[in-house]
Amino acid sequence: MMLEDLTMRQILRFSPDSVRPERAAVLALQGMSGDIEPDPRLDAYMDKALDLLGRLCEPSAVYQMVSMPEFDGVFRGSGLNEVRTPLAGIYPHAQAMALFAITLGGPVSRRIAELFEADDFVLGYVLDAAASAAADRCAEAVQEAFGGALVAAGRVPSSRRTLRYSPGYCGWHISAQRGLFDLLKPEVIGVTLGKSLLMEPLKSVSGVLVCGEPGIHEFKNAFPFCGRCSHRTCRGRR
Amino acid sequence: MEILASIVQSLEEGDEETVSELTREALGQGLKARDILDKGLIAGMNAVGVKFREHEVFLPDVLLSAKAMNAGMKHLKPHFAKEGVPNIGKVVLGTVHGDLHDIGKNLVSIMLKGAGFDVVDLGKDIIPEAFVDAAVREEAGFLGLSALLTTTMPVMKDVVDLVKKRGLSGKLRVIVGGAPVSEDYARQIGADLYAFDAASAVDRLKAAVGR
Ligand code: B12
Repeated sequence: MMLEDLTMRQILRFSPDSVRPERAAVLALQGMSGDIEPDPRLDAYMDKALDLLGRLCEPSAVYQMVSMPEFDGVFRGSGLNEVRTPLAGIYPHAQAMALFAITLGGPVSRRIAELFEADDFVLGYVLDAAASAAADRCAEAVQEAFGGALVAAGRVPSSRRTLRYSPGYCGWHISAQRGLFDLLKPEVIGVTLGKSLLMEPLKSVSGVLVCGEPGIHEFKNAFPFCGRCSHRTCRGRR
Repeated sequence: MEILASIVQSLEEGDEETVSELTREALGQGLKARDILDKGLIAGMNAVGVKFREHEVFLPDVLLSAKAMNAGMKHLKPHFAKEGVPNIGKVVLGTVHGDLHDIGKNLVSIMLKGAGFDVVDLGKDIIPEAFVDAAVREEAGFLGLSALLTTTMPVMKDVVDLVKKRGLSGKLRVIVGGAPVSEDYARQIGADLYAFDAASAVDRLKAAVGR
C-alpha cells in the first residue's frame, strides 16, 4: 500500500545541482550546436549564469496518476486538438499515466528580467537559456521519478518506458492546460495558470507522463505540423 | 578616419573597453558625434549583423557587440542632448496582453537600436489601446508586437484592427513576431510586416524605411 501511494501523487523537490543543464544544451538554445566553439568570453558568462542558476532556482515538481477516462477528458480539452496527433495514438496503449508540472520558481525569472533592465543583457540572455534548459532537465527528472516509482511498486516491469508530452506541442492544443490544472492542482508547488493559459513562474512545464512498452512511443514525424516544428529529431525520443 | 575603422573593428569584436576608449578619443579629435555614430558604431553593428546572418557569429556574440555599442553611446549621448539621438525610424515595441515572455522582444529592441532605430519599449502584457496610444504619442512609424503562445496571438489582430479603426493604417505600420507567429498568420490578421528573428526584424524595418 505504501508503495502504491508513492506512485499516486507526489510532490518532489530537487536540488539545483540535479537540474544543472549541460553546457551543450544551453548553447543549443542559443543557436550554437555541434562543434561550434563559443567565444571564451561567452564561456565566462556561461559559468556566471550556471552559478546564478544554482543559487536562484528552486526546482520542484508534482505528479498525480490519472485513469484512462480522466485523461481522455484532459486530452480532449476544449476540442481544439489537431485531427491527427501522435499522442492520440500513444496514450491508449499506456499502462500508467500521470499528469505533472514542474517549475524552477520565481526568483530566477525575476533575475533575468532585472539583468535586461540593467542592460546586462548578455548575462540575462545566457541565464534565460540556462534556465530553459534546466526546466527541461527538471521535467526529465520527474519523468524518471514516476517511471522509477512504478517499477519499484511492481506496477510495471523495468523494461517499460516513460515519456512526457505537453499541451501546446505536437497538435495537442494548449487549452488542455485548464483540465490538467483542475485535476493536478500544481498550485501546491507555486505554479498558477493565467487567463491566457500562461503559467507562472515562466520557467514551468506541464504535461502527461505516459508509461508503457517502449514501442508505443514511436511514431513517424510526418504529421502536418511536423513540417513547422524546429525539433526535427523529436527531442527526448531516443 | 582611421579611428572610425578601429571602432568598427572593436565593435565587431565586442570589445567594450576599446570601443568606449576609441569613441572618447574620436570626440577628442573633433569628429562629429553623428559621424562616430553612423560610420563607427552603427557601421560596426551592421557588419556584425551580416556575420550573424551568415552564421559566422551567434546571437550572444551580437549581444557582446551591442554591449560595446552601449559603451560608446554613453560618450555620444550628451552630444545629442538637444536634438536627441539621430535615428532612422521610431518603433514602439511590446509583448501583447496576456503574455509575459519578453526575452525575444528585448532582443529585437537591442538589435533595432544597434541598427539606428529609436525604440520605445513598453514592456509586457500590453493592451491594444496602450500600444496605439503610445505609438501616437511617440509619433512612431512602427508598432512591434511580440507573443510566445498561440493563445495570446489573437491580441495582435486586435491591435491591427485598432490601428485601422483609428485611421492610422499606412502611417503606423505593424510588425509582428514571436515563436508561434508566422508570415501566414501576419498576412491573415492584416499586419504590415513579419520577421522570424531579431536580425530579420532589422532587415524588414530597414527595407521599410528605404535603407
Ligand atoms: C525554451 C522554451 C521553453 C522553456 C522556457 C520558456 C521561456 N521562454 O521562458 C520552457 C521549457 C520553460 C517552456 C515551457 C513551455 N512552452 Co515552450 N518553448 C521554448 C522554445 C523551445 C524556445 C523559446 C525561447 O526561449 N526562444 C528564445 C527567444 C529569444 O526567442 P523568441 O522569444 O522566440 O524570440 C525571437 C523570435 O521569436 C523573434 N521575435 C520575438 N518577438 C518579436 C517581436 C517582433 C516585433 C519581431 C519582429 C520578432 C520577434 O525574435 C526573437 C529573437 O530572435 C519554443 C520553441 C521555439 N523553437 O521557439 C517553445 C514554445 C514557445 N513553447 C511552447 C509551449 C506550448 C510551452 C508550454 C505551454 C508547454 C507546457 N505545456 O508546459 C510551456 C509554457 C510555459 C509557461 N510559462 O506558460 C510553444 C508555444 C506555442 C503554443 N502552442 O502556444 C513553442 C512555440 C513550442 C512549439 N510548440 O512549437 N518553453
